[in-house]
Amino acid sequence: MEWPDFYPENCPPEEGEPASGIVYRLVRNDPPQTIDFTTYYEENPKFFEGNPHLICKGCGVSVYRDPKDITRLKKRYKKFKNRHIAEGELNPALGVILHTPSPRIISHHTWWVPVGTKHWVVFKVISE
Amino acid sequence: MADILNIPKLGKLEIVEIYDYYDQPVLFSCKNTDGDLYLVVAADENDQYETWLYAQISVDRLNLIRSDTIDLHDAFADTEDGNVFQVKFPYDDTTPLTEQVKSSQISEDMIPDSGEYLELRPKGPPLPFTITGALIGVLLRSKTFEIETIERTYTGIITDEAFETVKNATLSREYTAEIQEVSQRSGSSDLITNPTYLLISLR
Repeated sequence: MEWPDFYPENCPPEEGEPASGIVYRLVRNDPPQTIDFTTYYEENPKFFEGNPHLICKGCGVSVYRDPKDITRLKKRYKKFKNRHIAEGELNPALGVILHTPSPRIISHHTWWVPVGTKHWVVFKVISE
Repeated sequence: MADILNIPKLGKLEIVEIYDYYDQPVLFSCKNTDGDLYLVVAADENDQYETWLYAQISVDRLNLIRSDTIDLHDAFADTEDGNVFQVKFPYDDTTPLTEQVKSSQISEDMIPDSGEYLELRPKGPPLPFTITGALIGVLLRSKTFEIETIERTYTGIITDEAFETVKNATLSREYTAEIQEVSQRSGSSDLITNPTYLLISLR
């Protein structure tokens, strides 16, 4: 599996598992496009100059296992009010996933996507 | 690109705590080089720019928010100094526009609803326990923990922040673990194996 050039060493982390199962993500487009899976590291590398411990996480994208969690996130943070909830079923060819809960949202996972995959096609919008 | 830690009127900012994360921190506290503390939230986005709100905050007020005495709505709608910095980051990377606005005039469409609390308060005491080599091995492999006290055994998952401490831990030193009870969600994930606690920090 080949990872993007901007990934640091040891990323994805060893404790990550082959991607699998149903996950949920907030997307701008219906149907979802590749741009809906842009990593924060690609968007804002400067952020990580003062936060190097977050680089590997920032090279992945956030997904949730529990649809209630993503609904709560969308309701709580008005930045996401116009985004759609998309559902996708992952498989090992689509990379590596790791459970990375926050103190509030337990089903948060980080998903690292290898190069050359059309990962966005496995997602479909299920809710506005 | 929203360089959310570099704001013209506030200076360079350093993250203090991240409360919620979606690809990036979306609710967090931070401080500038003068030691001014801010609570920051991702507030809006459109085709041209994204908007963030920065509310200057005292340590005492942040603790009231952290302890769910003040909700997130009022944290931004009713600030101590009556103001909020509203920062618009254009997608074309031109200079962000920073405006100081009255917190009472912030649109309800930008801030969490009334009744939304931080919900970070740990339920359960901080637990002193000793990090040993064998324990480190277990924690690093599985990212789960099991801590026994006289009263009960706490089991659960280690958050990213606590995991960083585990990776750099000094063997045989005693650490204080801050744990938080979490509500059970619907059984939609096989990965979670019914944890009831998060180990959120080690000091």
